[in-house]
Amino acid sequence: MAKLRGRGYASVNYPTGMNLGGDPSQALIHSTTTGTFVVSLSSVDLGQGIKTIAAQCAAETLGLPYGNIIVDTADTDTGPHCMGTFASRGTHRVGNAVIMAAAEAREVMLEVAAEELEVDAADLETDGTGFIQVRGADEKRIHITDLALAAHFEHGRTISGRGIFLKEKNEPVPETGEMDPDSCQAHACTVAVVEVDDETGVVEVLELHNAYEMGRALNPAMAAQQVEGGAWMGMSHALFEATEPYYPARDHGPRDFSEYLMPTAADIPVQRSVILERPAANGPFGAKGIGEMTANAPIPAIGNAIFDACGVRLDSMPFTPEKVLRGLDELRGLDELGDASERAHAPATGHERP
Amino acid sequence: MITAVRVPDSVAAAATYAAAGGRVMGGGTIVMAQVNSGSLAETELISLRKAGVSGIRVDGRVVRIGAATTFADIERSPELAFLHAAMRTIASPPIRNLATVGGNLFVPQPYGDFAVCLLALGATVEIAGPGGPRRAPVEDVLTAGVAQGEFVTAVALSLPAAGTWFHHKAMRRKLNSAAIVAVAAVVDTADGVVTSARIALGGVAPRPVRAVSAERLLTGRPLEHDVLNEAGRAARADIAPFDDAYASAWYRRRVLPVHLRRALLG
Amino acid sequence: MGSQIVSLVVNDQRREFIARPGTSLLSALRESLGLMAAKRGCGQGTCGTCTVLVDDRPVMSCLVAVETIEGASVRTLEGVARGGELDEVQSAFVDGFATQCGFCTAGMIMSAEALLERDPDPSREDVVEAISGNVCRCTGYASIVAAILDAARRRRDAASSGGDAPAVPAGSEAADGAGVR
Repeated sequence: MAKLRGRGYASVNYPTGMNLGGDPSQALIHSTTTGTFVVSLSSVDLGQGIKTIAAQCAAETLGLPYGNIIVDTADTDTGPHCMGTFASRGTHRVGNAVIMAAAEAREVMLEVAAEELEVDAADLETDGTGFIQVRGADEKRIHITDLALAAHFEHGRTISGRGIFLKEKNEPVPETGEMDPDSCQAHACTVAVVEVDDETGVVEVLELHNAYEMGRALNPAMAAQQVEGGAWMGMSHALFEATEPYYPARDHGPRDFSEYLMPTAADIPVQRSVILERPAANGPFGAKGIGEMTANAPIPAIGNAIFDACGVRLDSMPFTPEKVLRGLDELRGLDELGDASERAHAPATGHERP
Repeated sequence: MITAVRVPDSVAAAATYAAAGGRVMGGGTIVMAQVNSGSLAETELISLRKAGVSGIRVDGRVVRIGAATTFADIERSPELAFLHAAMRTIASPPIRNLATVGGNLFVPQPYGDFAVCLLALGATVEIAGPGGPRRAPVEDVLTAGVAQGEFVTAVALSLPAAGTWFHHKAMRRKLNSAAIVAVAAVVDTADGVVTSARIALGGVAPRPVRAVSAERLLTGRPLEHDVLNEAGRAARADIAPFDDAYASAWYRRRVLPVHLRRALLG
Repeated sequence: MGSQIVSLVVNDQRREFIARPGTSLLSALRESLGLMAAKRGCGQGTCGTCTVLVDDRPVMSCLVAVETIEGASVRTLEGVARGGELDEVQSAFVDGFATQCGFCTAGMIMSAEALLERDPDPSREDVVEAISGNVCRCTGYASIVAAILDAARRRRDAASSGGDAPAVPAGSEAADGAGVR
C-alpha cells in the first residue's frame, strides 16, 4: 500500500465581460447634506464584494475616506441600469461607471469648495481624510461635511455625478471571424500537489498554488478570497460533484447535501496565492475581472497531478476513487477484483502516455 | 401531513400511541426530514425524547443504552470511550446531538453506522409493544424490524475487552459521509492467533451483515497482512453491495479486503 | 389534537407561539418569532444553515419538532451580540473576511459559539469537526477556520486580562474597510 504523490499544473486565460448587443453598466452618485456620498447601482452583491469595490472606486476618485461612501443597490426596477453581476464583468464595468460618476461629482465638489474658500478650483486638492484644501497652504481648507451643508443650503448645488461604461457591440468579421469580444483578459496558473492511495484510488489534494494576473487587485484580501474560494469549488468539481454519478444513466442522482458531497474543512489543501498586476488600459485603476475563472485551472491541475502521481489519465469529472482505481488496476494488469489477471502487462511505470 | 405530535412521559404512554398507529420518532433526523419534504403519509408522531428511555447505565461489563440516547451522549460517556472514534465518523455534531441509538436501527445502509457497531458487539435489543416487553438479538431487529405497534426502548451490550474492538469506516470524504465500507469487529486473540471474531460490515448490503466467511477463515490464524487480505476476499461472499451516490457496488466489492485489513491491522 | 401552544426561552426571553403539528424549530423561529438569521437551506439537516443552540447544544433546527423541546432554551445568532456589540466570533468573521454571501454564516457562528463554550482552546481539528455539518460554497473554509481560532484567542486574551476586550460596535467597519452598508 502506498500513497503516491504527484504534481500537476494548468493555466487559463479568462475574458472580462462579454459582448452581447453591447454591455453597459451605469452609476449615479450624490452627496447627502452631511457629506456622505451615495453610489446608486442596480448591480447585485451576492457576496462577491461589488459594493466594497464600488465604494473603493468612489472614495479613491473623490479623494474622500472609504467611510464616507454608502453603496445602494436596493432596487433594480428603479436604479440606473446594470446588465448584472456575472461574466466577470462587475469590477470592470461598474468600477469604470462609478469612477466616471465620482469624477463628475468631484468636479462639482471642488467648484463649490473654490467658492467657499475663494480660490481657484485648480488650486484645490483633497487630503484623503475628508478635507478639501489649498495645495501648499493646507490651513486654508474645508471639511466635506461643512462643504456639503454649504452646497445644499447656501449655494444650491447638487454635488453629484453620472457614469456609464459601455463595451460596445462588436460583430465578427465574416471573412476572418476576427472580433473583439471582451475588454481584457486575466490569466492564471494553478499548481496542484496530490496524494493517491494506490489501494483505494482516493485522491487527496495537499497543496494548491495559485498565481493570478488580474490587472490591479483593488482589494487584495477579497481577491485572495475569490481565488481560494474558487479553487475549493474547482477541487470540489474535480473530485466530488456529479448530478449523474452513473452518466449517462440518471440513476442515484444525489438528492440532498448528504448525497451531493463537497469537501469539508477537513478535506481542504494548503493554499498559497500570488497576485500579479499588469494593469489593463481600460480597467478601473487597471483592474480586470476574476469572478468566474477561479474554479477553472485547479481542475486540470488536479487531473495532471493524478497522472503524475500514478499514471492514470482521467479526462472526465469527477475524478472519483473508482475511476482512479480502475485506471490503476489496468496499469497493473489486475482483474475486476484486483487480483493478478492473465491480461498482458501494462508498461511498468505507467507514466508513458498512450 | 402530521396530525399531532405526542411527547409521552412514559413507555406505557408511548406504547398506547404506537398501538394506535403513530410513527415513533427518536431524534427526528429521519422522520422530520420526511415531514419537511412532504413525503410522510398522514400520521401522528410519537417522540421518545421524554419517555424515560434516555441514558447509559453500566452494570459490571454490561452497558444498557436507552433508545432515545443520542450519539452525542455516547461521545460524552467515559464508559463508552471505545465507541467515541466510531461516533465521530457519523454525520456532524448538530446531527449527533439529535440522532438516537434506537432510530439508527431502522435506517437503510449505507446509513446506520451505530447499528453496524451493535451487530459486531452482539447487542440485545429491548422492545416494548402491545404484546408486552421482549428482548431480541440485534440481528433479528436488523433483518426483520419490529412488529406493528412495537418500538425499541434500549440496547444492551457487553463491553469488549481492551484491545479487542476494531472500527474503520471508509468514507467519501474525511468527515460527515455515509459508509462506502464500514467494519466493526470484536476479535479475540491468544498466543498471536484469533480465538473468536465477530465482524460486522456496513455499506455493503441493504442491512448490516456479519462477515461470517472472514470470521471462519481468521479463526486460528494470526492477524497479519496476507491473512487479512485472504479474509477480506472471502468476505465478498457475505455481501450484497449496491450502487448509490457515494460508490458503486463494483467499488465496494473491490475495496472490501483493503478496508477489512486496515480495520484489523489498526 | 391539532395545534398547540409551545413555550421556549429564546435568547433569554420567554416566547410563546401556536404550532401546527409537524412545525420544525426552524419554521417557528422564522415564521412565528420573526428571527430570520437561521436559514432554510435543505430541510434535510444536511446543509447546516439552520444550526441553532438548544440547551447549549448545536442542532439542525429544521429537524426538531417544536413540541418535543417545550420549555427548552434556544439561542440564535440574534442573541449573540452583547448590548449591540459584536462578540469575538462575529468580529473575527468580519475582520477575517470569513463571509461572502453570508448564507452559511449564522449556522457557522452558532456551531463556533457552541464549540468555544465547551472548549476555549480548540485545535484546528476541533474547529474543523465542529463545522463539519455547515456547508459553505463561497469561502473554501480556510478563512472560517482561521476566524474561529482567532475568536478563541481573542476570548482567551480578554478573559486573562480580567475584563471584556473592546468589542467592535455593530455596524462599524473593520480595519480593512469591509464595512460598506
